[in-house]
Parts: sequence; structure tokens; C-alpha cells
Amino acid sequence: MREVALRRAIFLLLLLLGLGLSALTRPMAPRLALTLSPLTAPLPALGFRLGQNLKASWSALLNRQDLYAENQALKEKLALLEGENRRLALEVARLERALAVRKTQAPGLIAVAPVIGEDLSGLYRRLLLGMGERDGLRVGMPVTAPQGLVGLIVEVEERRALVRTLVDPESLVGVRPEKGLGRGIARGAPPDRLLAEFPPSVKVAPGDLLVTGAPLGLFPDGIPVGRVERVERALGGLKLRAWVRPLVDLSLLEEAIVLRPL
Amino acid sequence: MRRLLALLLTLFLSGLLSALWPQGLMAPDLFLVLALWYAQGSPAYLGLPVAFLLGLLQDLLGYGLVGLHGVGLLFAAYAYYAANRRLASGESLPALVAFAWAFAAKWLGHFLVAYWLRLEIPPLIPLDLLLEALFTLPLFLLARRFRP
Repeated sequence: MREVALRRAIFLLLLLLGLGLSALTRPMAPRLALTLSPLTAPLPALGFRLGQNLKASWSALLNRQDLYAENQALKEKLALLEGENRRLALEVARLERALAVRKTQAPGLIAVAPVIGEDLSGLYRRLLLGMGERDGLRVGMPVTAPQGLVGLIVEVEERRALVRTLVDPESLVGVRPEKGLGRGIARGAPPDRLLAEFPPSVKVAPGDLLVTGAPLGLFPDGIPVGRVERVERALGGLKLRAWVRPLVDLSLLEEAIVLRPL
Repeated sequence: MRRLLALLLTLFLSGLLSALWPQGLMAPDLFLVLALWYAQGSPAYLGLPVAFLLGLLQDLLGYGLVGLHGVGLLFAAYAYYAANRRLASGESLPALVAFAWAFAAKWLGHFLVAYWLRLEIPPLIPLDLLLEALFTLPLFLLARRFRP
């Protein structure tokens, strides 16, 4: 009982003290707290600073994670765009070549086909194109490159076509000197030459450029074929033989341009 | 020694919490926890003045009206003693009731000072008070495990 009374007495005393204190210090409330803050504030300020640092660290960590994710996404996007850019650059180059052929060789461009295989048996010199009947390719279509004539399509499947190149032994190409009169026929002479035969009256000299003529009707006129390396007389002077190096390096050919047949 | 350490820890944690606690959300009242923890192991003639002084310290730290928290914690400690006397101590449910009683008394003390000084009572949402109680309760239960 005494304990309860004591507790109540202390409570009332402190309550009065608190109310009196609050009334007395009311006009100088913030100033008083500020004046006493050097005594009271250091430890809470330490905690506050630590809390702020923790918060800032957490925020920095989150930002860094964001940046990492963003960086990864951008890298993936960049790789995609680079791939696309490469593809477009190749496409542009391919179209430029096709345009050059259209301008210089013939208006009858059918397709630009990738070279997917080559016959290196030594007997024949043939190329395999990655396009076929489905893409509009037919037997008898001339095949060229920006540098010059490649050959003729001799077999067509749905998605592939076989080209007999001009150095194939079965190849026959009607040719003429670019800056002279007269016509001749160039046969393939594996592995990498043509042998052109002309009448003795035709003037052909080493270094001359031979282009397609149209006596056999297979190739459009004026497509560069090769450059004469050596000229010799045959059959007692009844024929002129010229060894010709083709302008197109078949082993480096990646794409071929297919033209409409005559 | 433990009491001094508890006071230092409370001061440090109050600063830490004020930096980390989300803005606009009622933070747990660490000084209430400390006052009740002290009252738990002390007679009333010590526990009540200590609670009152802790409240004054809280007022000074908050740069507020001196006496507001003093009276609040005094009420809380008094209610805690009264509840403990009537309830069997050492069990969870009575501890919860005692805490709820003390928490309500603390706010009653605040309102009394506000009325005494004719202060404008800020618009308090009951949910805020409930959240403060819910955030403070786990700390109180934790503190009870370490007797002073």
C-alpha cells in the first residue's frame, strides 16, 4: 500500500515538474535543445552518419547493378547492330557489284548467287552456285563477275546450279580483241588458261584484252574475258593461237552474277 | 554498467534509425523500450524518474518542447508498473497487454501536455499509432530477454 502511494506521489511530482518545465521552457524550446546538443547529440549524430553512409552505399550498389544490367543490354544490342551492319555492308557491296555489271556488261541481270562449291578435279573447272531453279536460274544462262566472264550454267537443281567456267576444257567462248577486228574461239585450257584461235589476219598481241563476241550466241557482246599472254602461229601459219589468262580469279570468287541468256 | 550501455546503444540506434527509416513512416520508439526495460527491473521510485529523464533527453535530441516526451514516458512507465502489478509477470500475453497499456499511456501523456500548453494537436492517423506500436513491440519483447 505504501509502495503504491509512493509511486503515485512520485508520479504526480514528476508530472507537475514536466508540465511546469514544458510551460517554462516553451519560449526557448529549440534554443535550449541546441545549446545542450553538444552534450546530447554526438552519439545519435554518429548513428545518423553511419545510417546515411549505409543508405548511400546501398543506393550506389543498386545503381551499379542497374548500370551493369544496362551495360549488358547495350552490349547485346551493339552486337546485334554490328551483325546487322556487317550484313548490310555485304548486301550493299553485292548490290554495287551487280550494278556495275548491269552498267558495264548487260542489262539482263537475273541474280547474284553465292559460290558454294568448286570442282577441283583437274579435269573440269566448274563452280556450284547456291541458287537454282527456284530462284529463276536456267541452263544456258551466262555467269559473270565484275572483273569479267565466269562461264555458263550447264545444270540446274531446285536450289543449286552448276557453272561450266571458261577454263573448263568443254568451254567454248566466242571472243574478239577489244580494240581490233576479227573473231575467234577460246577453249578452256585447265588449270587456269584459255586457248583462243583466230584467223591469221586478226591482229592479236600479248597484253591485248579479249572480250566476248557473239558468233555462238551464248554470251552478250563485250564482256571482258581475259588478257593475251602469248601468241603463236599454228598449222603452218593458217591459224593464230593465243594463250589467254582469264580476268576472273575463280579461286577467289565468292559471288557470281547470272545474266539472262541471249 | 549494462544500463549505461543500453542508453548509449539507444542513442546510437535512434540516430541510425532516423537515417535509415523511410520518410513518413512512424519509427519505433526506442526510448519507450529503454524506459520500460529499465522499469522492469527497478522499483518505481527509480523507474519513474529515469523514464522522465529519458523523455527529457528525447525532447532535447528532437529539438522539441522540453517535457513533452518526459511526461509521455512518465505516463508509460507508470502504466507499465500498474499493469505489471495486476498481471502475472513473465508470460507473453501479459507482457503484450502491459506494453499496449504503456504505449497508450505514453500518448495520453503527450495529449495532456498538448492540452496543458494549448498546442495544436497534429492530425494523427490511428494507423500511424498502430504502426508505431507494431514496430516498437518486437524491440520491447527483445529487450525483455535481457534483464537490467
